[in-house]
Amino acid sequence: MDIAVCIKAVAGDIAGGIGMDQDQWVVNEWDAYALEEALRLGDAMKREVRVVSVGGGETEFPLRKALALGAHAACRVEADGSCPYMVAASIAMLFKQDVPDILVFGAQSSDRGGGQVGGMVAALLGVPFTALATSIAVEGEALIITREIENRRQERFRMRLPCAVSVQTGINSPRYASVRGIQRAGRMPLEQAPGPALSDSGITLLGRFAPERRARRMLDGTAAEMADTLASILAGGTV
Amino acid sequence: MMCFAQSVVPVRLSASGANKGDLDLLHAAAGLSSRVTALFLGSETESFALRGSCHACLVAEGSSRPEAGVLAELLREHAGPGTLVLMRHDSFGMDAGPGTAVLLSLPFVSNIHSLVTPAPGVVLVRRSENNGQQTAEYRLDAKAGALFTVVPGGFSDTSPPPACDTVFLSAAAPDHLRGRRIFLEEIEPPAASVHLESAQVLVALGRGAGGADIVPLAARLASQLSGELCCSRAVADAGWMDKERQVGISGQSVSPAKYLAFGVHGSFQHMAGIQGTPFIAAVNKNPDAPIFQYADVGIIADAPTFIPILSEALGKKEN
Repeated sequence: MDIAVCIKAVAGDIAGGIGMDQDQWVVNEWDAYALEEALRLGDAMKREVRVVSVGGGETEFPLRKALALGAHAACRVEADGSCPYMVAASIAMLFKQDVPDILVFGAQSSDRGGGQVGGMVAALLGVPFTALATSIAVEGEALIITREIENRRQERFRMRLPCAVSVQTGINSPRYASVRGIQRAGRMPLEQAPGPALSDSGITLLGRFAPERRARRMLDGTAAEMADTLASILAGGTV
Repeated sequence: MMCFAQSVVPVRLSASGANKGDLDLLHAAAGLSSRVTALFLGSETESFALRGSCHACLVAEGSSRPEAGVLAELLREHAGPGTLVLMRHDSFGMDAGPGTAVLLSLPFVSNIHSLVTPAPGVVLVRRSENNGQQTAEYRLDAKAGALFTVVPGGFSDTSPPPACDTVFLSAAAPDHLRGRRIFLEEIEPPAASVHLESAQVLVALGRGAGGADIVPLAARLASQLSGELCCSRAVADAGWMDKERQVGISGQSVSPAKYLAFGVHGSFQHMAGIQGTPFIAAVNKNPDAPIFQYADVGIIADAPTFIPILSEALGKKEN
Protein backbone atom coordinates (compact mmCIF):
# COMPACT_ATOMS: atom_id res chain seq x y z
CA MET A 1 0.00 0.00 0.00
CA ASP A 2 0.96 3.63 -0.09
CA ILE A 3 1.96 6.16 2.54
CA ALA A 4 -0.29 7.17 5.40
CA VAL A 5 0.10 10.26 7.53
CA CYS A 6 -1.91 10.81 10.70
CA ILE A 7 -2.71 14.36 11.75
CA LYS A 8 -4.55 15.97 14.64
CA ALA A 9 -6.65 19.12 14.86
CA VAL A 10 -5.67 21.31 17.80
CA ALA A 11 -7.40 24.43 19.05
CA GLY A 12 -6.30 27.50 17.12
CA ASP A 13 -4.15 29.42 19.51
CA ILE A 14 -3.20 27.15 22.37
CA ALA A 15 -0.56 29.63 23.44
CA GLY A 16 -3.10 32.42 23.65
CA GLY A 17 -6.03 30.66 25.25
CA ILE A 18 -6.82 27.23 26.54
CA GLY A 19 -9.92 25.34 25.63
CA MET A 20 -11.49 23.32 22.91
CA ASP A 21 -14.46 25.63 22.41
CA GLN A 22 -12.64 27.89 20.00
CA ASP A 23 -13.99 28.03 16.51
CA GLN A 24 -10.65 27.78 14.80
CA TRP A 25 -8.70 24.57 14.47
CA VAL A 26 -5.25 24.10 13.06
CA VAL A 27 -3.01 21.21 12.12
CA ASN A 28 -0.89 20.19 15.11
CA GLU A 29 2.59 21.69 14.63
CA TRP A 30 4.45 18.34 14.63
CA ASP A 31 1.88 16.88 12.23
CA ALA A 32 2.51 19.67 9.72
CA TYR A 33 6.10 18.40 9.49
CA ALA A 34 4.83 14.80 9.31
CA LEU A 35 2.53 15.72 6.42
CA GLU A 36 5.35 17.43 4.54
CA GLU A 37 7.63 14.43 5.09
CA ALA A 38 4.93 12.05 3.86
CA LEU A 39 4.39 14.17 0.73
CA ARG A 40 8.15 14.20 0.07
CA LEU A 41 8.37 10.43 0.52
CA GLY A 42 5.36 10.05 -1.76
CA ASP A 43 7.08 12.12 -4.45
CA ALA A 44 10.35 10.20 -4.08
CA MET A 45 8.73 6.75 -4.09
CA LYS A 46 5.95 7.56 -6.58
CA ARG A 47 3.32 6.58 -4.05
CA GLU A 48 0.00 8.11 -3.06
CA VAL A 49 -0.35 9.78 0.33
CA ARG A 50 -3.45 9.17 2.43
CA VAL A 51 -4.12 11.43 5.38
CA VAL A 52 -6.12 10.33 8.42
CA SER A 53 -7.49 12.20 11.41
CA VAL A 54 -9.47 10.84 14.35
CA GLY A 55 -12.23 12.88 15.95
CA GLY A 56 -15.35 14.82 15.01
CA GLY A 57 -16.05 17.89 12.91
CA GLU A 58 -12.86 19.58 14.05
CA THR A 59 -10.90 17.29 11.75
CA GLU A 60 -12.36 18.78 8.57
CA PHE A 61 -10.08 21.81 8.37
CA PRO A 62 -6.83 19.89 8.85
CA LEU A 63 -7.92 17.21 6.39
CA ARG A 64 -8.89 19.78 3.75
CA LYS A 65 -5.60 21.56 4.32
CA ALA A 66 -3.71 18.31 3.80
CA LEU A 67 -5.58 17.75 0.52
CA ALA A 68 -4.77 21.30 -0.53
CA LEU A 69 -1.09 20.62 0.13
CA GLY A 70 -1.11 17.54 -2.09
CA ALA A 71 -2.46 14.54 -0.20
CA HIS A 72 -4.34 12.18 -2.52
CA ALA A 73 -7.10 11.08 -0.12
CA ALA A 74 -8.35 12.04 3.32
CA CYS A 75 -10.28 10.04 5.88
CA ARG A 76 -11.88 10.96 9.19
CA VAL A 77 -12.37 8.21 11.75
CA GLU A 78 -15.31 9.06 13.99
CA ALA A 79 -14.01 8.35 17.47
CA ASP A 80 -12.89 10.05 20.67
CA GLY A 81 -9.84 12.01 19.54
CA SER A 82 -8.85 12.90 23.09
CA CYS A 83 -7.91 9.35 24.11
CA PRO A 84 -4.50 8.31 22.72
CA TYR A 85 -5.29 4.60 22.78
CA MET A 86 -8.65 5.18 21.06
CA VAL A 87 -6.90 7.24 18.38
CA ALA A 88 -4.27 4.55 17.89
CA ALA A 89 -6.84 1.74 17.80
CA SER A 90 -8.92 3.70 15.26
CA ILE A 91 -5.96 4.18 12.93
CA ALA A 92 -4.85 0.57 13.34
CA MET A 93 -8.36 -0.70 12.57
CA LEU A 94 -8.48 1.42 9.40
CA PHE A 95 -5.23 -0.07 8.10
CA LYS A 96 -5.35 -3.59 9.56
CA GLN A 97 -6.33 -5.26 6.28
CA ASP A 98 -3.97 -3.27 4.10
CA VAL A 99 -1.00 -1.95 6.07
CA PRO A 100 0.65 1.11 4.45
CA ASP A 101 4.32 0.82 3.53
CA ILE A 102 5.06 3.83 5.70
CA LEU A 103 2.99 5.46 8.46
CA VAL A 104 4.15 8.95 9.41
CA PHE A 105 3.21 10.73 12.64
CA GLY A 106 4.17 13.92 14.43
CA ALA A 107 6.31 13.21 17.49
CA GLN A 108 3.66 14.70 19.81
CA SER A 109 0.73 17.09 19.87
CA SER A 110 0.94 20.62 21.21
CA ASP A 111 -2.20 20.23 23.32
CA ARG A 112 -1.72 16.87 25.01
CA GLY A 113 2.01 16.44 24.50
CA GLY A 114 1.84 12.67 24.94
CA GLY A 115 3.82 11.29 22.01
CA GLN A 116 1.92 8.01 22.28
CA VAL A 117 -0.07 7.39 19.12
CA GLY A 118 2.67 6.49 16.60
CA GLY A 119 4.28 3.85 18.79
CA MET A 120 0.91 2.40 19.74
CA VAL A 121 -0.28 2.12 16.12
CA ALA A 122 2.98 0.42 15.14
CA ALA A 123 2.58 -2.14 17.93
CA LEU A 124 -1.06 -2.78 17.02
CA LEU A 125 -0.12 -3.32 13.35
CA GLY A 126 3.01 -5.33 14.16
CA VAL A 127 5.41 -3.02 12.33
CA PRO A 128 8.66 -1.44 13.64
CA PHE A 129 8.65 2.14 14.85
CA THR A 130 11.20 4.88 15.39
CA ALA A 131 10.42 8.12 17.22
CA LEU A 132 11.80 11.64 16.82
CA ALA A 133 13.15 11.40 13.27
CA THR A 134 15.20 14.33 12.04
CA SER A 135 15.88 12.83 8.62
CA ILE A 136 14.33 10.04 6.55
CA ALA A 137 15.85 8.56 3.40
CA VAL A 138 14.59 5.72 1.22
CA GLU A 139 16.95 2.81 0.58
CA GLY A 140 15.30 0.05 -1.42
CA GLU A 141 12.65 -1.61 0.72
CA ALA A 142 13.82 0.17 3.86
CA LEU A 143 14.09 3.62 5.39
CA ILE A 144 17.27 5.07 6.85
CA ILE A 145 16.10 7.06 9.85
CA THR A 146 18.23 9.53 11.73
CA ARG A 147 16.69 10.48 15.04
CA GLU A 148 17.72 12.78 17.81
CA ILE A 149 18.56 11.52 21.26
CA GLU A 150 19.82 13.54 24.19
CA ASN A 151 22.61 16.14 24.37
CA ARG A 152 22.79 16.97 20.64
CA ARG A 153 23.56 13.36 19.76
CA GLN A 154 21.73 11.41 17.07
CA GLU A 155 21.44 7.77 16.09
CA ARG A 156 20.69 6.09 12.80
CA PHE A 157 18.60 3.01 12.03
CA ARG A 158 17.60 1.00 9.01
CA MET A 159 13.89 0.08 9.23
CA ARG A 160 12.37 -2.47 6.91
CA LEU A 161 9.06 -1.61 5.25
CA PRO A 162 6.30 -1.61 6.31
CA CYS A 163 7.17 0.64 9.22
CA ALA A 164 6.06 3.66 11.22
CA VAL A 165 7.99 6.78 12.17
CA SER A 166 7.31 9.94 14.16
CA VAL A 167 9.02 13.14 13.13
CA GLN A 168 10.48 16.02 15.10
CA THR A 169 9.92 19.67 14.18
CA GLY A 170 12.59 21.10 11.89
CA ILE A 171 12.93 17.90 9.81
CA ASN A 172 11.79 19.87 6.75
CA SER A 173 10.19 23.14 5.70
CA PRO A 174 6.44 22.58 5.33
CA ARG A 175 5.07 23.90 2.04
CA TYR A 176 2.28 26.41 1.61
CA ALA A 177 -0.97 25.58 -0.15
CA SER A 178 -1.53 27.06 -3.60
CA VAL A 179 -4.86 28.66 -4.58
CA ARG A 180 -5.32 25.84 -7.08
CA GLY A 181 -4.64 23.29 -4.35
CA ILE A 182 -7.19 24.88 -2.04
CA GLN A 183 -9.82 24.89 -4.80
CA ARG A 184 -9.07 21.26 -5.63
CA ALA A 185 -9.31 20.27 -1.95
CA GLY A 186 -12.74 21.86 -1.67
CA ARG A 187 -14.07 19.54 -4.38
CA MET A 188 -12.48 16.35 -3.05
CA PRO A 189 -14.52 13.97 -0.90
CA LEU A 190 -13.66 13.29 2.72
CA GLU A 191 -13.96 9.61 3.49
CA GLN A 192 -15.45 8.62 6.81
CA ALA A 193 -14.89 5.48 8.82
CA PRO A 194 -16.29 4.29 12.13
CA GLY A 195 -14.05 3.99 15.18
CA PRO A 196 -13.58 0.74 17.07
CA ALA A 197 -15.94 -0.37 19.81
CA LEU A 198 -13.62 -0.42 22.79
CA SER A 199 -14.32 -1.18 26.39
CA ASP A 200 -13.34 1.28 29.11
CA SER A 201 -9.61 2.04 28.91
CA GLY A 202 -9.41 2.21 32.70
CA ILE A 203 -7.99 5.75 32.46
CA THR A 204 -10.29 8.59 33.59
CA LEU A 205 -9.56 12.30 33.33
CA LEU A 206 -10.47 13.80 36.71
CA GLY A 207 -9.84 17.41 35.74
CA ARG A 208 -7.49 20.08 34.50
CA PHE A 209 -6.32 23.04 36.54
CA ALA A 210 -3.72 25.78 36.56
CA PRO A 211 -0.27 24.58 37.63
CA GLU A 212 0.49 25.06 41.31
CA ARG A 213 3.69 27.05 41.09
CA ARG A 214 3.93 30.63 39.81
CA ALA A 215 6.90 32.97 39.52
CA ARG A 216 8.33 33.91 42.91
CA ARG A 217 7.82 37.57 42.09
CA MET A 218 5.80 39.10 39.24
CA LEU A 219 6.84 42.66 38.41
CA ASP A 220 4.35 45.30 37.43
CA GLY A 221 4.43 48.90 36.27
CA THR A 222 5.52 50.39 32.98
CA ALA A 223 8.05 48.56 30.81
CA ALA A 224 10.71 51.09 31.84
CA GLU A 225 9.93 50.60 35.55
CA MET A 226 10.02 46.81 35.26
CA ALA A 227 13.26 46.98 33.25
CA ASP A 228 14.81 49.22 35.90
CA THR A 229 13.81 46.80 38.68
CA LEU A 230 15.15 43.81 36.76
CA ALA A 231 18.38 45.67 35.96
CA SER A 232 18.83 46.37 39.70
CA ILE A 233 18.25 42.71 40.56
CA LEU A 234 20.73 41.61 37.87
CA ALA A 235 23.26 44.11 39.17
CA GLY A 236 23.24 42.38 42.54
CA GLY A 237 20.02 43.39 44.20
CA THR A 238 17.71 40.88 45.86
CA VAL A 239 14.57 39.39 44.38
CA MET B 1 0.88 2.99 50.06
CA MET B 2 2.56 0.05 48.29
CA CYS B 3 0.26 -0.30 45.33
CA PHE B 4 2.19 -2.75 43.20
CA ALA B 5 3.68 -6.15 44.01
CA GLN B 6 6.52 -5.49 41.62
CA SER B 7 7.97 -2.65 39.61
CA VAL B 8 10.55 -2.72 36.83
CA VAL B 9 12.71 0.17 35.71
CA PRO B 10 14.70 -0.15 32.47
CA VAL B 11 18.07 1.54 33.08
CA ARG B 12 20.27 2.49 30.15
CA LEU B 13 24.01 1.77 30.34
CA SER B 14 26.64 3.67 28.42
CA ALA B 15 30.40 4.12 28.59
CA SER B 16 29.81 6.91 31.10
CA GLY B 17 27.77 4.67 33.40
CA ALA B 18 24.13 4.05 34.20
CA ASN B 19 21.65 6.75 33.19
CA LYS B 20 21.13 8.99 36.23
CA GLY B 21 17.52 9.81 35.36
CA ASP B 22 16.69 6.11 35.11
CA LEU B 23 18.41 5.36 38.44
CA ASP B 24 16.29 8.04 40.09
CA LEU B 25 13.21 6.12 38.96
CA LEU B 26 14.43 3.09 40.95
CA HIS B 27 14.10 5.14 44.12
CA ALA B 28 10.64 6.30 43.10
CA ALA B 29 9.64 2.71 42.36
CA ALA B 30 10.79 1.61 45.81
CA GLY B 31 8.09 3.77 47.36
CA LEU B 32 5.37 2.31 45.16
CA SER B 33 6.04 -1.42 45.14
CA SER B 34 7.28 -4.06 47.50
CA ARG B 35 9.75 -5.53 45.00
CA VAL B 36 11.83 -3.42 42.60
CA THR B 37 13.67 -4.89 39.63
CA ALA B 38 16.26 -2.90 37.72
CA LEU B 39 16.56 -3.98 34.10
CA PHE B 40 19.96 -2.71 32.97
CA LEU B 41 20.18 -2.40 29.18
CA GLY B 42 23.26 -2.07 27.03
CA SER B 43 26.53 -3.48 25.81
CA GLU B 44 28.64 -1.33 28.13
CA THR B 45 28.31 -3.76 31.00
CA GLU B 46 31.75 -2.76 32.32
CA SER B 47 30.14 0.53 33.30
CA PHE B 48 27.63 -1.37 35.40
CA ALA B 49 29.01 -0.34 38.77
CA LEU B 50 25.85 0.49 40.67
CA ARG B 51 23.49 -2.26 41.59
CA GLY B 52 20.52 -0.02 42.10
CA SER B 53 18.03 0.45 44.90
CA CYS B 54 16.31 -2.73 43.99
CA HIS B 55 15.64 -6.28 45.07
CA ALA B 56 16.59 -7.86 41.76
CA CYS B 57 18.97 -6.71 39.11
CA LEU B 58 18.85 -7.94 35.52
CA VAL B 59 21.52 -6.99 33.01
CA ALA B 60 20.31 -7.43 29.45
CA GLU B 61 23.24 -7.43 27.02
CA GLY B 62 22.29 -5.69 23.80
CA SER B 63 21.12 -2.26 22.79
CA SER B 64 20.76 0.28 25.59
CA ARG B 65 17.69 1.58 23.77
CA PRO B 66 15.91 -1.48 22.36
CA GLU B 67 12.77 -1.14 20.29
CA ALA B 68 9.38 -1.79 21.88
CA GLY B 69 9.13 -5.38 20.69
CA VAL B 70 12.43 -6.37 22.33
CA LEU B 71 11.70 -4.48 25.55
CA ALA B 72 8.24 -6.02 25.77
CA GLU B 73 9.72 -9.52 25.38
CA LEU B 74 12.17 -8.86 28.24
CA LEU B 75 9.42 -7.52 30.48
CA ARG B 76 7.04 -10.34 29.57
CA GLU B 77 9.66 -12.86 30.60
CA HIS B 78 10.86 -11.20 33.78
CA ALA B 79 7.94 -9.16 35.12
CA GLY B 80 4.87 -10.81 36.52
CA PRO B 81 1.27 -9.69 36.13
CA GLY B 82 0.37 -6.48 37.90
CA THR B 83 3.82 -4.96 37.40
CA LEU B 84 4.50 -1.23 37.36
CA VAL B 85 6.95 -0.17 34.63
CA LEU B 86 8.59 3.25 34.88
CA MET B 87 10.59 4.86 32.05
CA ARG B 88 11.84 8.35 31.33
CA HIS B 89 9.85 10.45 28.86
CA ASP B 90 12.85 11.11 26.63
CA SER B 91 14.08 9.71 23.33
CA PHE B 92 13.94 6.15 24.73
CA GLY B 93 10.60 6.44 26.50
CA MET B 94 8.98 8.09 23.47
CA ASP B 95 10.44 5.45 21.15
CA ALA B 96 9.71 2.27 23.10
CA GLY B 97 7.17 3.18 25.79
CA PRO B 98 3.88 3.33 23.85
CA GLY B 99 4.51 0.14 21.88
CA THR B 100 5.62 -1.74 24.98
CA ALA B 101 2.42 -0.76 26.78
CA VAL B 102 0.31 -2.00 23.87
CA LEU B 103 2.24 -5.26 23.51
CA LEU B 104 1.88 -5.98 27.26
CA SER B 105 -1.74 -4.67 27.43
CA LEU B 106 -0.76 -2.22 30.16
CA PRO B 107 -2.64 1.04 30.77
CA PHE B 108 -0.23 3.81 29.82
CA VAL B 109 0.10 7.50 30.59
CA SER B 110 3.10 9.38 29.25
CA ASN B 111 5.07 12.32 30.53
CA ILE B 112 3.76 12.26 34.11
CA HIS B 113 5.30 14.41 36.84
CA SER B 114 3.56 12.96 39.89
CA LEU B 115 2.09 9.64 40.91
CA VAL B 116 0.18 8.68 44.07
CA THR B 117 -1.60 5.49 45.05
CA PRO B 118 -4.64 6.34 47.20
CA ALA B 119 -5.96 2.75 47.30
CA PRO B 120 -4.81 -0.70 46.18
CA GLY B 121 -5.02 -0.95 42.43
CA VAL B 122 -5.75 2.74 42.00
CA VAL B 123 -3.22 5.29 40.74
CA LEU B 124 -3.57 9.05 40.36
CA VAL B 125 -1.10 10.67 37.99
CA ARG B 126 -0.57 14.26 36.98
CA ARG B 127 0.87 15.57 33.74
CA SER B 128 1.29 18.89 32.00
CA GLU B 129 -1.15 19.55 29.13
CA ASN B 130 -2.32 22.28 26.76
CA ASN B 131 1.16 23.39 25.93
CA GLY B 132 2.22 23.38 29.57
CA GLN B 133 -0.48 25.80 30.67
CA GLN B 134 -2.56 23.28 32.62
CA THR B 135 -2.01 20.28 34.85
CA ALA B 136 -4.28 17.31 34.18
CA GLU B 137 -5.04 14.58 36.70
CA TYR B 138 -5.93 11.04 35.64
CA ARG B 139 -7.19 8.08 37.62
CA LEU B 140 -6.11 4.61 36.51
CA ASP B 141 -7.31 1.17 37.30
CA ALA B 142 -3.85 -0.39 37.63
CA LYS B 143 -4.69 -3.78 39.13
CA ALA B 144 -3.22 -5.44 36.05
CA GLY B 145 -0.15 -3.21 36.15
CA ALA B 146 0.66 0.01 34.32
CA LEU B 147 3.40 1.74 32.36
CA PHE B 148 4.30 5.38 32.84
CA THR B 149 6.92 7.59 31.28
CA VAL B 150 8.12 10.25 33.69
CA VAL B 151 9.10 13.78 32.75
CA PRO B 152 12.90 14.32 32.78
CA GLY B 153 13.93 15.46 36.24
CA GLY B 154 10.77 14.15 37.88
CA PHE B 155 11.05 11.89 40.96
CA SER B 156 14.70 12.59 41.68
CA ASP B 157 16.18 11.02 44.80
CA THR B 158 19.73 10.80 46.06
CA SER B 159 19.41 8.26 48.87
CA PRO B 160 22.05 5.52 48.69
CA PRO B 161 20.91 2.29 47.05
CA PRO B 162 21.16 -1.09 48.75
CA ALA B 163 23.00 -3.93 47.02
CA CYS B 164 21.23 -6.90 45.49
CA ASP B 165 21.85 -10.01 43.44
CA THR B 166 22.46 -9.70 39.72
CA VAL B 167 21.33 -11.91 36.86
CA PHE B 168 22.76 -11.52 33.36
CA LEU B 169 20.43 -12.02 30.38
CA SER B 170 20.59 -11.79 26.64
CA ALA B 171 18.53 -9.05 25.01
CA ALA B 172 18.84 -10.43 21.50
CA ALA B 173 15.78 -9.68 19.41
CA PRO B 174 13.42 -12.66 19.12
CA ASP B 175 13.31 -14.31 15.69
CA HIS B 176 10.12 -12.62 14.55
CA LEU B 177 11.59 -9.16 15.22
CA ARG B 178 15.11 -9.78 13.98
CA GLY B 179 16.24 -7.47 11.19
CA ARG B 180 13.19 -5.25 11.08
CA ARG B 181 14.99 -2.36 12.80
CA ILE B 182 18.76 -2.37 12.71
CA PHE B 183 20.90 0.09 14.63
CA LEU B 184 23.52 1.57 12.33
CA GLU B 185 25.44 4.18 14.29
CA GLU B 186 25.40 6.83 16.97
CA ILE B 187 26.35 10.25 15.68
CA GLU B 188 28.30 12.58 17.94
CA PRO B 189 27.51 16.27 17.53
CA PRO B 190 30.04 18.53 15.83
CA ALA B 191 32.30 20.42 18.23
CA ALA B 192 30.47 23.49 19.47
CA SER B 193 31.95 26.88 18.66
CA VAL B 194 30.19 28.39 21.68
CA HIS B 195 30.47 26.99 25.17
CA LEU B 196 27.10 27.53 26.74
CA GLU B 197 27.82 24.95 29.42
CA SER B 198 30.33 27.25 31.12
CA ALA B 199 28.40 30.53 30.68
CA GLN B 200 27.34 32.16 33.94
CA VAL B 201 24.72 34.35 32.27
CA LEU B 202 22.50 33.19 29.44
CA VAL B 203 20.07 35.30 27.43
CA ALA B 204 17.57 32.92 25.87
CA LEU B 205 15.23 33.66 22.98
CA GLY B 206 12.06 31.73 22.29
CA ARG B 207 9.47 31.85 19.56
CA GLY B 208 7.71 34.71 21.37
CA ALA B 209 10.77 36.94 20.92
CA GLY B 210 9.46 38.05 17.53
CA GLY B 211 11.81 37.27 14.67
CA ALA B 212 15.41 36.97 13.58
CA ASP B 213 15.86 40.75 13.74
CA ILE B 214 15.77 40.61 17.56
CA VAL B 215 18.94 38.51 17.69
CA PRO B 216 21.44 41.44 17.43
CA LEU B 217 19.60 43.30 20.22
CA ALA B 218 19.63 40.19 22.41
CA ALA B 219 23.33 39.72 21.62
CA ARG B 220 24.00 43.25 22.83
CA LEU B 221 22.12 42.51 26.05
CA ALA B 222 24.09 39.29 26.54
CA SER B 223 27.32 41.22 26.01
CA GLN B 224 26.31 43.82 28.61
CA LEU B 225 25.83 40.97 31.10
CA SER B 226 29.05 39.18 30.03
CA GLY B 227 26.90 36.29 28.96
CA GLU B 228 26.03 34.18 25.94
CA LEU B 229 23.01 33.91 23.69
CA CYS B 230 20.99 30.72 23.55
CA CYS B 231 17.58 29.70 22.27
CA SER B 232 14.67 27.30 22.34
CA ARG B 233 14.09 24.59 19.75
CA ALA B 234 11.54 26.71 17.86
CA VAL B 235 14.14 29.44 17.30
CA ALA B 236 16.73 26.95 16.07
CA ASP B 237 14.14 25.31 13.79
CA ALA B 238 13.27 28.74 12.37
CA GLY B 239 16.94 29.39 11.68
CA TRP B 240 17.28 32.60 13.72
CA MET B 241 20.15 30.98 15.58
CA ASP B 242 22.41 28.02 15.00
CA LYS B 243 21.36 24.66 16.41
CA GLU B 244 24.41 24.59 18.69
CA ARG B 245 22.82 27.38 20.75
CA GLN B 246 19.67 25.35 21.42
CA VAL B 247 19.14 24.55 25.10
CA GLY B 248 17.07 21.55 26.04
CA ILE B 249 16.86 17.81 26.28
CA SER B 250 18.02 17.36 22.67
CA GLY B 251 20.29 20.42 22.72
CA GLN B 252 22.85 21.77 25.14
CA SER B 253 22.72 21.25 28.89
CA VAL B 254 23.61 24.45 30.71
CA SER B 255 24.15 25.45 34.32
CA PRO B 256 24.25 29.25 34.48
CA ALA B 257 23.92 31.45 37.54
CA LYS B 258 21.41 33.67 35.71
CA TYR B 259 19.01 32.71 32.94
CA LEU B 260 17.03 35.45 31.20
CA ALA B 261 14.26 34.00 29.05
CA PHE B 262 12.63 36.24 26.43
CA GLY B 263 9.58 34.83 24.68
CA VAL B 264 10.55 31.34 25.84
CA HIS B 265 7.44 29.26 26.40
CA GLY B 266 9.04 26.93 28.94
CA SER B 267 8.33 23.41 27.68
CA PHE B 268 9.70 20.60 29.82
CA GLN B 269 12.00 19.68 26.92
CA HIS B 270 13.62 23.11 27.13
CA MET B 271 13.70 23.37 30.93
CA ALA B 272 15.26 19.90 31.25
CA GLY B 273 18.39 21.38 29.71
CA ILE B 274 18.84 23.86 32.56
CA GLN B 275 20.80 22.27 35.38
CA GLY B 276 21.24 23.53 38.92
CA THR B 277 19.13 26.30 40.42
CA PRO B 278 19.86 29.47 38.47
CA PHE B 279 18.13 32.77 38.99
CA ILE B 280 15.52 32.80 36.21
CA ALA B 281 13.89 35.95 34.87
CA ALA B 282 11.11 35.37 32.35
CA VAL B 283 9.63 37.93 29.97
CA ASN B 284 6.61 36.75 28.04
CA LYS B 285 3.39 38.40 26.92
CA ASN B 286 1.44 35.20 27.63
CA PRO B 287 0.66 35.18 31.38
CA ASP B 288 -0.08 31.45 31.20
CA ALA B 289 3.27 30.51 29.68
CA PRO B 290 4.77 27.69 31.77
CA ILE B 291 8.13 29.52 31.95
CA PHE B 292 6.58 31.56 34.77
CA GLN B 293 6.27 28.35 36.81
CA TYR B 294 10.07 28.21 36.93
CA ALA B 295 10.88 31.91 37.18
CA ASP B 296 12.17 33.85 40.16
CA VAL B 297 11.07 37.07 38.48
CA GLY B 298 8.27 37.22 35.94
CA ILE B 299 7.43 40.08 33.61
CA ILE B 300 4.38 40.07 31.38
CA ALA B 301 5.55 42.05 28.40
CA ASP B 302 6.27 41.80 24.71
CA ALA B 303 9.80 40.37 24.65
CA PRO B 304 11.09 42.14 21.49
CA THR B 305 9.92 45.48 22.86
CA PHE B 306 11.31 44.82 26.34
CA ILE B 307 14.85 43.74 25.35
CA PRO B 308 16.07 47.20 24.23
CA ILE B 309 14.41 48.85 27.24
CA LEU B 310 16.27 46.46 29.57
CA SER B 311 19.51 47.14 27.68
CA GLU B 312 19.03 50.84 28.23
CA ALA B 313 18.27 50.34 31.95
CA LEU B 314 21.41 48.23 32.35
CA GLY B 315 23.40 50.90 30.50
CA LYS B 316 22.24 53.51 33.01
CA LYS B 317 23.27 51.26 35.92
CA GLU B 318 26.71 50.79 34.34
CA ASN B 319 27.11 54.55 34.13
